[in-house]
Amino acid sequence: MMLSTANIVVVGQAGQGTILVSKILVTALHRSGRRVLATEYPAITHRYAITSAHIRSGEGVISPRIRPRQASAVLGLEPFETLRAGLLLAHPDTVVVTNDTFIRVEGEPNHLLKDPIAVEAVNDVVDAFAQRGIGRVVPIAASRIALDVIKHRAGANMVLLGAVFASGCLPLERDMLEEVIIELAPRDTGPRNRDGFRAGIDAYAAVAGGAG
Amino acid sequence: MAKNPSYQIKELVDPSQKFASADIHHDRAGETAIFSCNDAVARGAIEAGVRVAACYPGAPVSYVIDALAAAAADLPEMHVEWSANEKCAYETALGAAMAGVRSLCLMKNVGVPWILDPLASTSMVGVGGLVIVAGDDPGAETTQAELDCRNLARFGEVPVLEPANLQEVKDAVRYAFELSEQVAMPVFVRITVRQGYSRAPVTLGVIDHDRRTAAAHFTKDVVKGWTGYPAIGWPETGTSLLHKRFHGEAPRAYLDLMRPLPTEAGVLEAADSCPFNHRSGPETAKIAIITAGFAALEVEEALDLLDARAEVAVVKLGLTYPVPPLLVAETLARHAQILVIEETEPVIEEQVRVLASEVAGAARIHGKKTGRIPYSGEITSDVILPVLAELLGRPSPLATEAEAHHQTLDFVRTRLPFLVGGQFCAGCPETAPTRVLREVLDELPGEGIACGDSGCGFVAQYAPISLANTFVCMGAGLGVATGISHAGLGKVAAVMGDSTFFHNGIVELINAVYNRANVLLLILDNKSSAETGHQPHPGAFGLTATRKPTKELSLEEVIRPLQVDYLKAVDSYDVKGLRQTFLEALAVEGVSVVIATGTCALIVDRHRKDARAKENA
Repeated sequence: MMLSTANIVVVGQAGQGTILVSKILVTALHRSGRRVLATEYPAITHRYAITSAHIRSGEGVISPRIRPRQASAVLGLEPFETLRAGLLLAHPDTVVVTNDTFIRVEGEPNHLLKDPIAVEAVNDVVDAFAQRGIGRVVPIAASRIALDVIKHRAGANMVLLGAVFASGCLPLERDMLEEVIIELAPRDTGPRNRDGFRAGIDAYAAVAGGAG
Repeated sequence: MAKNPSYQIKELVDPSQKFASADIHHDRAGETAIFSCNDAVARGAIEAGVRVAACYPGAPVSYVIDALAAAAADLPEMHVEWSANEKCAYETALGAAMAGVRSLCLMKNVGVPWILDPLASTSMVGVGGLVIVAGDDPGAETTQAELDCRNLARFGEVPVLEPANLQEVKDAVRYAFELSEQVAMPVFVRITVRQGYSRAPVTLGVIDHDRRTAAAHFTKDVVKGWTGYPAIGWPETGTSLLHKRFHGEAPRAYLDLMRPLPTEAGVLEAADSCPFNHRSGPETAKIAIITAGFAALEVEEALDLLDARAEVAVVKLGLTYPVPPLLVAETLARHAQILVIEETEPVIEEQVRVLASEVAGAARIHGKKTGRIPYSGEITSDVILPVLAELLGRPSPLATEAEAHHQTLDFVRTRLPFLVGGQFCAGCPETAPTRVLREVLDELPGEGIACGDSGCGFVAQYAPISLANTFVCMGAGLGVATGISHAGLGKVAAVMGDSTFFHNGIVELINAVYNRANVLLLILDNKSSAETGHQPHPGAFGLTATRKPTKELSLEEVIRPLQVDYLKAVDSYDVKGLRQTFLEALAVEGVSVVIATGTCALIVDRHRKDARAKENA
């Protein structure tokens, strides 16, 4: 399925690979001959700062910024950040693919999240989305899969990219994405990241049924 | 000296791992490449034949220097530097421009106030070929003040260009050098954070190699040369004559002795002939929008969403200070209502209102001054659209969506309250010193006040460390601590990073010593400008921006001659040593300095990964 306009949100915490996912998507979309614009908020260097990217592709796109409730897909590297960005940018038909692993600080899922609610598991995030009418939320055990396949949790971004691809939300061919992943992955990690991407496709199919 | 295993890392980060490419300087005019905004700025400067570029790191323009530094390997005439602070960067670029070569300096929005003294002192002397790229931050996502650099440019009466998309960013930076030479003044290019971290295809232009490689030259002339106190004028001062010349007030007899430029008339003429001014939409429209910069893209989106391009004229300005007087006056006369769309302060709007007073039957003006457009935050299509819909007298097509969004915001604010914070990275060398200092301050009698500063260490103000009780700006922690100590609240602690110390903290320390303050300065020496992307500085790496070996200043050796009352360096991971050192330092009446040393954990981590990759290869 090739979409006319794609509005893709990538969100996570600093150091999780948000910007790399954005670079891969922008490069692949450009090479596919599509108009593409992106804006990336790298936050600050330290961990636990929110990092996000908006990637827009389509002939009518003028601003790289995605308006509220206009995301076609949300790729979330950390469940609470998925929730925070997704609530504002997703609409009922948006596909939200989220890592199920929280970044825990001081023994809490997120030290910033206190009463009145405390998210303890990814299902709490799914429920919070549902309360706002956003029902297409797919949790993926991306960090665990990355540890198995890529041998490093930091590869969760590629697993989730594979899952979002499998959802059919990306107007991209699989070969093109894999070519760009191998080219842009840091150091010698290209093939392993491609394998993580493929594992993400399988994981999405297992959880939600995929277009892979 | 404190030691730890990672202390000797001397490799800078590859630019391609940042928001910059290492491949932006090839002669491929007409080709299109995916650029980050930082790449686009760097490419524009390279196409213009820039010879000297200087910057103190800060969002969103830090990585321009990485891109230029990589290019300098193949374009060896270029000097590219990380400066100790923004004032140094501006003055370096200024000196190069005085020597007849094109020069560039870059800074974050809160960096611009640091250059106001030399900017105001040189904006009228006639120096051209000098471009200042300033990164503004609507919404204050990355800085502590939502200020508008255009107001600071206005302080020196210096022109400001505001490009919209990344192609314009590249082209506007190139053009800014030509404009600066044409009007014989420095020229600002305003970039916003949203723009600065964007990525898009950009078509390359021709690189002016001749310009970059041309010989430098310098004019030694106390009347027509580069002095703010020219040897001319009575009863007027020479300095006032520079200002009088600009505004057409100088006596003829003196004008004949002076350089012909800069003049306000020349700048206004340039504003009207700016190639980035664009007018679109029907000339007979009742409503016109005057806009510029990134907001212009959002205006276009809003017009498309409203399907109103046939009903609204758009005047997109390239130069926003000063606005093009003829173009704006014509717009004011032609349309019944004007909506001014710009980010942060009403700089365009105020100028339009002034021009309106000179136009008979001028349009009614809407904008920030009438409360329709907010001052704070990004001005996005969803902000613009309802205002425009109301002016057109029709319902907003996004009303339902907007209502749903507001309900979500209510849900978020009531159900998911977000307490702002941040934490040090795992393994960060700043965690233990800040945590132990807070513990010691709380254990000892007294107020236990600590003043924070810019850099990674700023997160020490948040729980669970809760060290700092104030935050102002670069270097201000020690200054504020000095003031609190003189107010009589005992020994006060201040904490700053190594880069901040070299930026201006050293002057604060000299002031504290001279005025006999009772303070403890903790310097978190993580051996880089870590927060902004691990740039080198005078006390880190021993490398310049272009990776050439240079002198590496030791904090201890720099501070020792300043005659502080206590000075000790301690390993950042030595918790017992830190505690003992703080207890000793706080017991001393006068100025105590503790340097906690440990290389940034992210540098160490990256270094290990690189080493492992090399082994595997």
